[in-house]
Amino acid sequence: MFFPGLHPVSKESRTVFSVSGSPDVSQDDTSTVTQRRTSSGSPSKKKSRPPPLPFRLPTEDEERAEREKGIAGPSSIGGGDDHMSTTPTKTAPPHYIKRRNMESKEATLRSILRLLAFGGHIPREAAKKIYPEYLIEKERLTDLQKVISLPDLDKCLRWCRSTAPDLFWSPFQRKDGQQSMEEWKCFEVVHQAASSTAVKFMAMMDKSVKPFSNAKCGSNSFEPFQFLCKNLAGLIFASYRKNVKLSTIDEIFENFYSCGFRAWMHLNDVSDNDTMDTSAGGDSCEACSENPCVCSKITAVFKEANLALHALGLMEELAGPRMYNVIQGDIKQHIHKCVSEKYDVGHLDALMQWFNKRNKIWIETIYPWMVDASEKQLKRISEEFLVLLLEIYGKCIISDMFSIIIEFPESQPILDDLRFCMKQVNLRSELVTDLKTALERRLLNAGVNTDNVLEAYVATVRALKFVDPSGILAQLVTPPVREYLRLREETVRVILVSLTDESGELAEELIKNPTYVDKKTVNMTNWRSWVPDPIDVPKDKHNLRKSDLIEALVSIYGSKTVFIDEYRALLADRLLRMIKPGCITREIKCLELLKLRFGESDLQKCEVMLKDVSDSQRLNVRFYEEEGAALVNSDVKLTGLVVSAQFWPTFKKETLELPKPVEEAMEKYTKAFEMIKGNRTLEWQKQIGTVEVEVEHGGTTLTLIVSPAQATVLWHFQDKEQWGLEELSQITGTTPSALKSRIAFWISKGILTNMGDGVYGLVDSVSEGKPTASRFTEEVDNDSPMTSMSTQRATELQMFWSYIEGMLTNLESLPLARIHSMLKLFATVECSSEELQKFLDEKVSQNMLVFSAGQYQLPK
Amino acid sequence: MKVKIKGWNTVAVWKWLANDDKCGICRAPFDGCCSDCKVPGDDCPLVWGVCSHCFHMHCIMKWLAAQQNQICPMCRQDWQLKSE
Repeated sequence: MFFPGLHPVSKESRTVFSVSGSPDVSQDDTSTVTQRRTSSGSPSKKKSRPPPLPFRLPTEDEERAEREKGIAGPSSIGGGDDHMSTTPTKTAPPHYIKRRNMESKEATLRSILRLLAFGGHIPREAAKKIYPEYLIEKERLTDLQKVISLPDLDKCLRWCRSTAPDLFWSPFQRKDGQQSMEEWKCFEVVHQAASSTAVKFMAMMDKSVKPFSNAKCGSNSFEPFQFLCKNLAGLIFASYRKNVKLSTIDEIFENFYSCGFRAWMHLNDVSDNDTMDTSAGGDSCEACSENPCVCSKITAVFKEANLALHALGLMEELAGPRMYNVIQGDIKQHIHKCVSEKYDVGHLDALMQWFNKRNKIWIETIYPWMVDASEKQLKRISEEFLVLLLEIYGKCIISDMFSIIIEFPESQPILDDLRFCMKQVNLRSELVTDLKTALERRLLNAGVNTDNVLEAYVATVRALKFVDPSGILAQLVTPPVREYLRLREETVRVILVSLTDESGELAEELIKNPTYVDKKTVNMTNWRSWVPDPIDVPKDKHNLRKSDLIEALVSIYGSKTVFIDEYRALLADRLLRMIKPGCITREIKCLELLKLRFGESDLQKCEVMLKDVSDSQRLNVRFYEEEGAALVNSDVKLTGLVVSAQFWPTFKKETLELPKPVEEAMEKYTKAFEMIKGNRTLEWQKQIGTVEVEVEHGGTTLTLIVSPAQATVLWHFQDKEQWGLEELSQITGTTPSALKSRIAFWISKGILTNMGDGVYGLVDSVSEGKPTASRFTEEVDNDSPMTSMSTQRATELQMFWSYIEGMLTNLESLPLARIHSMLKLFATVECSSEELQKFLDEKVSQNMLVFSAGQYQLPK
Repeated sequence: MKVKIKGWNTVAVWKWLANDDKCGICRAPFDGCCSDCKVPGDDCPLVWGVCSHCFHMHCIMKWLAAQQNQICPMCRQDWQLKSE
C-alpha cells in the first residue's frame, strides 16, 4: 500500500542534488534524472513488500551466526576518517535530539543529507553512462562488484545485515513491553528512532563503504553507494517482522501520524469547525491533550522525523501504509460526514475545496522536502491524493448504490459525481459486485412484489446508463435480476400493464422513443472513436448496450414473441372484461406505439382483435338503435362481441346452459347476424361476458354486474326456492364444484343460503341474510376467460405428436436429440429440447411411447 | 325474488358456413384470411363454385389468373361462381 509513484528513489535524488547544491548540476539535468529513476523504479509500485533484494535474505540460522561473527565487523572495516563530527556515536542515548539545541539538530540533518549526496561532485553524465535506465537490479549488483572487490562487498553486506536492523529497531523494542502507550510517548519513540537511526546508520554506512569507493573507484562511487543504502533499507524493513511485534509498530506509527496531523491542523487552524475547537482555551489542548499545548513542538519534530525516515529510504516501506491509513481515515471521516444519505445533491465541489486545503497540509508535513519542489512534482503527489479521495468517495457512493438507484432520477447529482470518480479510478468491478449483492439481498427474494422488482430493474438500468452510457455496467450488473424476473410468472404481464398504463413511467418511455432501430447497422463514419469492450465483459447475445429501456425489458425474455403473445392475451382479457363495450381508443393508441417498436407484422393479430371490437359495436348499434332494427323488441338486451377466433387466444371450454330468454335472444341475434353477413354464423361463448342484473328480493333491489354463470344460477332460483346441488348442476350444465363457487357469490351477497346436505335456498329477506354475508369472503369471478399460456403451449406441442408418431413408425427408435432436430425442420412453433423431453416423458407415462436405452420408440 | 336482466354482454365467434375448415388453395382456415390479407371476414370473403367447392376469393382469383382453363383446383370441373 505505498503511494503509487512515490518511489523513494526519485525523491532521494531530487533532494540530494538540491541540498548538495553542486554547481555543475543544472535544474534540467536533475529533472531528467528524476524522470529516469521514476520509470526504472516503477515495477515495485503498489507492492506491499519492500523492493526485491538482489541478494537472498539470510535464514535465521545464518543470521545468528553472522551476528556472532559480525560484531567485530565495523571496527575491522572502519577506518576512513570520520568527517561527521556532529554525529552522535553508537552509544548516544536515544533521547539525544530532545536535549540538543536547534542548531545541532540542523547540523545533524545536513550531514545526513550530505552523506546521501556522497557523490554530489560526480558529473551526472558519467553516472548516466554507467547505469542506463534498462539495467535491472541484478546487473547493478554486478557493477557494484566491479567497483568494490567482491570479498569486501560481502564483508560489508554481512556486517550491515547483522548490525543495521538491530540498530534501527532498538528504540522500538525498548518500548515493546508497554501495552498502551500514550500518544505523545509514541510520537517521541518514532521520532527518536527515525532520527537517531538515520544518523547512526548513515555514519556506519559511510565508514564501511567509503574506504572502498574512495580507494578503488573514485568518482564513480555515487550510484553503488545509493544502491547499497536502498537495499539495506529494504533489509531493515524485512527484518522488522522478525524482531518487533507488528501490532506495536503499527500502533506507534498510526498514532504518530494522526497526532502529527492533528497538531499541524491545530496550529494552522484549517480544521473543520466541528472536529476541534481552538477557543476551548483553559484546559489542555484538544489536538495533543497536553497542557500547555505542545502542538508546535510536535509539528517541528514530526517534520523532522519524516525527513529522517525519508533520508533512510524507509519512508514508504515503514511509514507508508500507516500514513496512508491516517490520510485515508481522514478522508473517509470527512466524506461520510458530508455525504450521509443525502443523495439528491452532488458533493464533489465541496469535497474538492476541502481537499485542496488538506492536500497542502499533507504535502507540507509528510514531504517537507517537497515544499520547494517543482510544480510538476507537487502536482503529481496531489494527484495521487486526489485519486485516493475519489476512490474513497466512489466507494462510499457504491456502498449505498442500491438506495441511490431506487431514488433515481432524484439522485442524479450524486451519480454524476460517481461518473466523475469512475473516470479517474477504476471502480467498475467493485460497483458490479457490490450492487449485485445488494440487489440480490434486497430485491430478489420472494417477499418483494414483481412490480417492485421491475421498478428497481428499470431504475437500475436507467441509473447505470446514466453513469455509463455505453451500457457495459448495466450489462454486467443486471443478469441476476433478469434471470430472476424470467422465473416469475407474472413478469410479462406486469411489464405490459405498466407499459400500457397511460400514467405509468414506462408508457412515457414507450411514447418517447418509438423508433425501431436496426442494431446491426454499424456506423462506419466515426470508426476512429470506436472503443473495444473491456476484456471481462461477457459476450451476451442480448446486450443492453445500445438498447433502450423497453428493449431492456423485452430482452428479459430473450425474444419478442413471448412478449407479444402475452400482450395479446392481456389485450384480449381487457377487451373481454370491458363492462360496456366502449372506449378502445386507448388500446388503439397503445397498439400503435407497440407497432412502431416491434414492427407491424407481429402485432397483426392484435389489430384484428381491435377491429373485431369496433365492428361488433357497430353491429350492436345496428341491431338495437337504428330505426327498424332487428332486435329492438327483444326481452333481453344481448350485446355480442363477435370475434374472429383465429386471431384471439383460445377461450376456455366450459359448458353452461343459459336461461331461456337469453338463449332465445342469442338465437335472434344469430339470425340477425346471418341476415347481414351472408354465409356466416355465430357460435356463442356462453360463459364469457358480463351481465347486469337487478335483483328484487324481500323489498330491496340490488343492481349488480356479475358473470353469466352467476346470473344463470340466480335465475333458476326464481322458479324454485330451493335447489340441490346435483339438480342445479344438471340444469345449468356445469360441474358441481364450479357451481358451488357461483352459489358462494350469492351467499356472500346475502341472497342465497346453505340449507345443508347440498341444498341451497333463498333467504327470506335480504336484510335477514346480511349477517351471513360477513362469514364468506367475497369471491369475484376473476378467472381469465382465456386458457392459460401453459395449456396453450401444451396444445401446440400436441401438434407435434403426429409428426413424432410418423417419425417413429418409419425409423423405429430415435434419441431425443434426433427427434428434436427433425422436428425443427418442419415445426412452425419453436420448441426447446427440454420442453420436448418433458412432452415425450409425459407420453411415456401415458404408455404411448417406450423409452429404452436413451431412445424413444412406439410400443409394439 | 325477481331477477331482471338489464343487459347481457357476451362473446360470439363467427364462422363461415362452409363444408370444410380450410381453404384448399392456401391451406389457411376459412375463418382466417388468405395469405395476402390481414383482416378476415368481410375483407377476405369466401366464394363458392357450382361444384360446391369453396375458397378464399383472393385465392381462387389468383389460381384462375394463373391457369389457362378456368377449372376448380379440387375437382377439375369448370369453375363457375355459384349464384346465391
